[in-house]
Amino acid sequence: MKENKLYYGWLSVLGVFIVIGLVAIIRIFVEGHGALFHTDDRVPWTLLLAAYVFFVLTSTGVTLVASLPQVFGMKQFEPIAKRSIFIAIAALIAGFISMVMELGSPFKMVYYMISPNLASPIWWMGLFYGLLLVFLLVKFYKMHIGDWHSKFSKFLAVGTFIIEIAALSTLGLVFGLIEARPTFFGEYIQVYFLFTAFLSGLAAIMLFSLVYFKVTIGKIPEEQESLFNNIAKIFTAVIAITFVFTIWRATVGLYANRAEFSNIQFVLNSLPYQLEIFVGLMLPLGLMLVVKIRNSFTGKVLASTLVILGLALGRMHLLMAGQIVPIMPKLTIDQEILFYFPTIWEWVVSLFSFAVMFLIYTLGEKYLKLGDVPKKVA
Amino acid sequence: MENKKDKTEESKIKESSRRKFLKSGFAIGAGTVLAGGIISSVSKVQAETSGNKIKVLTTNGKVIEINKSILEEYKLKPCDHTAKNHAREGIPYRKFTMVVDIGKCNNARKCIEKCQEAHHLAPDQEWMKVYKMQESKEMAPYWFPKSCYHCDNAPCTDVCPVSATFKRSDGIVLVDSDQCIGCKYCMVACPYEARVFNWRKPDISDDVANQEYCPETSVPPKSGTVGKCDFCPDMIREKKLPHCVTACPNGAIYFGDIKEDVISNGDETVRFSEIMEAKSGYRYMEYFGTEPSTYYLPPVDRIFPFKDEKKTDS
Repeated sequence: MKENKLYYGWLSVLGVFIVIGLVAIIRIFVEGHGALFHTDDRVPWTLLLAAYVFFVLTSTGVTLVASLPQVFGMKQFEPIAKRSIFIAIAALIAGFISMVMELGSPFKMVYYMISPNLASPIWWMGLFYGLLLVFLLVKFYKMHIGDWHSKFSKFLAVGTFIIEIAALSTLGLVFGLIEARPTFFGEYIQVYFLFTAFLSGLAAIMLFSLVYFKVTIGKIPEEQESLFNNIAKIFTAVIAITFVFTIWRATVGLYANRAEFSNIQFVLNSLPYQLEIFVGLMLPLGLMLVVKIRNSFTGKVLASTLVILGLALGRMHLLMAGQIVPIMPKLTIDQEILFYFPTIWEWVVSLFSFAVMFLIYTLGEKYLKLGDVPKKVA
Repeated sequence: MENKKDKTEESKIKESSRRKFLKSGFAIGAGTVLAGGIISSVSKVQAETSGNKIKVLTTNGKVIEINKSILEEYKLKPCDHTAKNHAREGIPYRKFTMVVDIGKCNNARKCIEKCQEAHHLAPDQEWMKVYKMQESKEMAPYWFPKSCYHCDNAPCTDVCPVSATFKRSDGIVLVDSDQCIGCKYCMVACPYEARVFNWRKPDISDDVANQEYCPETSVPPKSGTVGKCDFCPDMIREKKLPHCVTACPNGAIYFGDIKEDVISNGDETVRFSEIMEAKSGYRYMEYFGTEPSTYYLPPVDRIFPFKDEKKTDS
């Protein structure tokens, strides 16, 4: 009864966000982005694109986690494989919603098929993430009907892994090929995306699983305790790697004299960035380095929540860092830093994507037995 | 000795003929230099005097007389709405260029106003911008007009996922708003911030809104798509100069054809190569390797003292 109350209460909260989001979406289509978003020609990519990057990298990350048992044979991770695949589907759908809302003319997507530009990284990114969704859906279906280890299922697992790496690479290229913006340009972003995607995947699977266990049985099932302790160890290592990456990046920005890098100094002094570093990376790293906290239920939930929030801020600051310094004109003593803070409507639409992801996941937990394991193991 | 004198006379006559040729050619209308304008204007002048013979200006600057029958005049077509590819192909045998003489710009902003009027842009949408440039406190400030550079290696066309923006054979980079999905990737990729998004529903009359869209006119503007300077190909097809060129009261903006080696600001017509050499023309942010089609003449020999109205008022 209590569980039912919580379930319907949760659904009602999601429903409210979805309804408000739908109102915002209708307004976007009727009035245009300019009427609702804090955006202009010099900061054309908004919170919604940051949300897209956050969702698709989370999706990529949980798919990587699912690949551990399915591609690399680490059987101990099988109990979280089905849930991982389903979270990946939900996150990817949320990502697509965010992207569609970012587009000025989404109804012209037919040109994506009939007039493709194969030189465009966005085109390839769209192709790979589209394929990833198809592979994830089929893979999930096969798992759901109990087919985990057939040849076709293995093909799907390997195919999913290859496509997700391709998708992540092309997402990195979308930014990394922009020569005009030094803070985007280069291969750093692809490597950074790879590690942070894995980090967000680990955080998501821990958080979603543990909250589910808490709501249903009140604790982690005994047979899965060591599994989650091991995940927490890997999680700790990946936070540390991400932290080191972030320090490298900041150091380069601080040493650079060129005006194009002045944004990095600006970002370093901004509250969201400091929250990302201190609260989203250092605090969870500190917590996870204490064995007692790392092995505790609360410690895991707290650290994974902080990391997810930190990464969400990180996606946002990455996107803004490349845009807030105008790239024209270069020859001026009045180098300005542009100000961007999302409007309430941008938040509403982004939260709509989150609500859709949570709704899909919640319904999945309710009806699709996401904790299933292959029959042999069970 | 006499022979040498004859040659000098001959050379003077040739030079005079070339000047007369240019003068008479351009007298027919500012900017006839464009898109076959020379051939058509010459044919009009010469038809009165020499029957089947016609004088043409060669690309190396000589005026030669040839039989009219061997010339095939290029017919300029209006923007053909029925053939989508027409706007994508460009005007054959042309390579358009813009040259901005920075020393002549005093931020009159007439280029911006005329461009906005012609393309039905909102007041905050500037396809042509004028920046105040000053490299350091010790160096003199100057005004720097800038539109899309129509780069030969355009990053914007490379990144567009649906090929809505494209480079034509005549060097012009256009946007097909019918095809643009509004991802704004081209805006982020352009090193010159040349692109302008239609963030809102355009405030235009029904007549304009009901016009059939053509990438060569960029009219009507469409909400949720990217716009930018198009070098006014519709004007070029009418043998006219782009709006910004004719609107500039100081003649700071020249437009022409690199293949013909001729540019004009409407008042004077000059050789592109000669003015580049004489005034040390350059391209902005050349290091990106984008090969812009717009060139600048440095801000020397200014015709106005620098005056920043905003600062004077405050």
